[in-house]
Amino acid sequence: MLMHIRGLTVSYPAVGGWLGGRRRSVTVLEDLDLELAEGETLGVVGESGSGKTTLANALLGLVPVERGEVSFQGADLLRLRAKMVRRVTREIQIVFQNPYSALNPRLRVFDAVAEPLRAHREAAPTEIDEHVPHLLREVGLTPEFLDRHPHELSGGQAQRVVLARALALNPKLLVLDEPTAALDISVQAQILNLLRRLQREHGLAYLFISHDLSVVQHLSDRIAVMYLGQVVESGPAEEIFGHPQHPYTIELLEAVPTLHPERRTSQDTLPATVPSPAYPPTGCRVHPRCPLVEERCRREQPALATFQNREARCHLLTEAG
Amino acid sequence: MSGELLRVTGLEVDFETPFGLSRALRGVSFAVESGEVFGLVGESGCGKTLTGRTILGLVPPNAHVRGSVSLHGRNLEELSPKRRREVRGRQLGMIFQNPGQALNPVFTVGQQMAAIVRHHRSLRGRELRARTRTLLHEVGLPNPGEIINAYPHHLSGGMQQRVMIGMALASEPELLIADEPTTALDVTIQAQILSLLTTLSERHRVAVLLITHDMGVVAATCKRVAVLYAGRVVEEGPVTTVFSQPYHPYTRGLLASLPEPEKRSQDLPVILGSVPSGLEALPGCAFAPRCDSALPACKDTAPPEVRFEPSHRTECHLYDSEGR
Repeated sequence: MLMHIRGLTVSYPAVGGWLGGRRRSVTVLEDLDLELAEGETLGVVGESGSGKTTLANALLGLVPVERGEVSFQGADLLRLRAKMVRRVTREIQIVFQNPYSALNPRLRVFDAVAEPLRAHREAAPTEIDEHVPHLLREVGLTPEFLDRHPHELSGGQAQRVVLARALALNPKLLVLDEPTAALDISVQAQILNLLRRLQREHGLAYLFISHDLSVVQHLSDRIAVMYLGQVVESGPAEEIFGHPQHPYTIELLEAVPTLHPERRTSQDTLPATVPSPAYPPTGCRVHPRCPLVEERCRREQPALATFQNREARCHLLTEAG
Repeated sequence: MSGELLRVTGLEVDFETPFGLSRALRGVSFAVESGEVFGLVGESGCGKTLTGRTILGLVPPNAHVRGSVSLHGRNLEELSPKRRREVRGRQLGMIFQNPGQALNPVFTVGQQMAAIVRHHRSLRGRELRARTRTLLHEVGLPNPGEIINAYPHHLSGGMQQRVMIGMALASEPELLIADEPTTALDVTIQAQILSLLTTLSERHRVAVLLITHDMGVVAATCKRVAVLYAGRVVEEGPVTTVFSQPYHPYTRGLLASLPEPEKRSQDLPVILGSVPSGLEALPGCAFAPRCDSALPACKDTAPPEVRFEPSHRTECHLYDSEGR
């Protein structure tokens, strides 16, 4: 295993009441367990407020973690000594949704891609001059882009530059947070193909976060479905998409508009909206919108249980065995 | 369906820019029938939003508009400016991608809606409140009494969009122009809003011009669709045939590049190159530089319109006038 996440919990302080008098905290990730093997793609899906982006930020140390353990190649990411931080975290790089806000508008493409090499004193200046064009070629850009600024790039080109920069330090894991959400369909296809090739050639593992289930399905080996800070179902991609078991996963997949509406089994849509993570429902978090809700679901929170080929958090599934 | 509601013919919009005249729409033509959901689909920069705005007359002052927009066969350009405004205000409604930005944050939902209801029908007091409540009820908001007193930030994105649709319905329009109405929403909420739009068209006979980049949304909601590329409709027809048997190479390329379960763990076919800028002169087919099947004629001769079934047409040199 490349990475083991155990009991990861993240809370944000929330200020409530008149003039912020009452303080409380909002748990946005609760006891999250995930595993990621080398060279594998784990797709993380869920609606807004499910905690997908917080998960990415927590792995990169961008938000404080309340408790839990992230073991990455044997090192505990959350308890690294300062000296080790640089050595371990260079193995994890991130690509965000909007490439224009991820690139410094004043830096040329060359400097943007060279920056991690310089920051980590990875290479001598002459080596950087050679290595940066090589990285651009890896992502399908010619050296003529070296002198451009971000505003001279199309969305797809800018996202390629971000990928080149992420690859500069030879990471083991790329966290991809909605990397194609801001792109047009035809460009999205190019970036998805590029991601597949890079993974093959560099043995990269991807943590692929997206609300677009068709994109996640295209790239992922395994899927984790999140709801209000918890994983409700996870397992191999074919299983989750082909035979979803958790009522929430079933409804979520039903909601995706496809090119072939005639293949759809039902026209039902989830009734309620997502409750605020600040006030999670009692019992099973999905119960207010679950079509199969039972009395027990309102009272007791189901544990994440293992079935043949997946894990799921649902009383009905546990009972059915 | 009962006849043609909206017809857009040869709509051209040019913008004056410091770099010269930019041609944003290069002759957009299509028609929407009463009570149908019609999809206008394309990538960013193809002119889909501008088409919607031009129909409503919401174009910036530096835009030059040519071509015609007709409602029930009546060309809006032939009306006096005052009458034109009335017709647009009453018969057309519009909703936008980001309902949170379209609603006024300092007024309650009830106040904002009442202002519009009052404008269209001179109701007051109890009647006004009742009408507002009815509208909220029609868009599927569960407890209109509470929503009326809520401020926009109290509502979720899906509820805000429902309020927007309710406001757009206040004038009982015949056509609702919905510009990416679900792009900012989660898939589950998207499904609800799309089913609301479908219901409105079926039950209240409101036609919807659904502007979107999402082919799945079109497939789930629309009866007919027009595919825009570089400010021109390259293909138009019933959704079922356009998506199952696309004729234009651009439509084909777009559909092929979508990730679908069957294409899992395969490279997706891509359309190389990029969309031409409005500043470029395009004497031939705008898609020719990116087209796999381009013929010599594509570069310098405008493609002819080819009709297949009576309602399915494309603009492409690959087919002769009999549609082969």
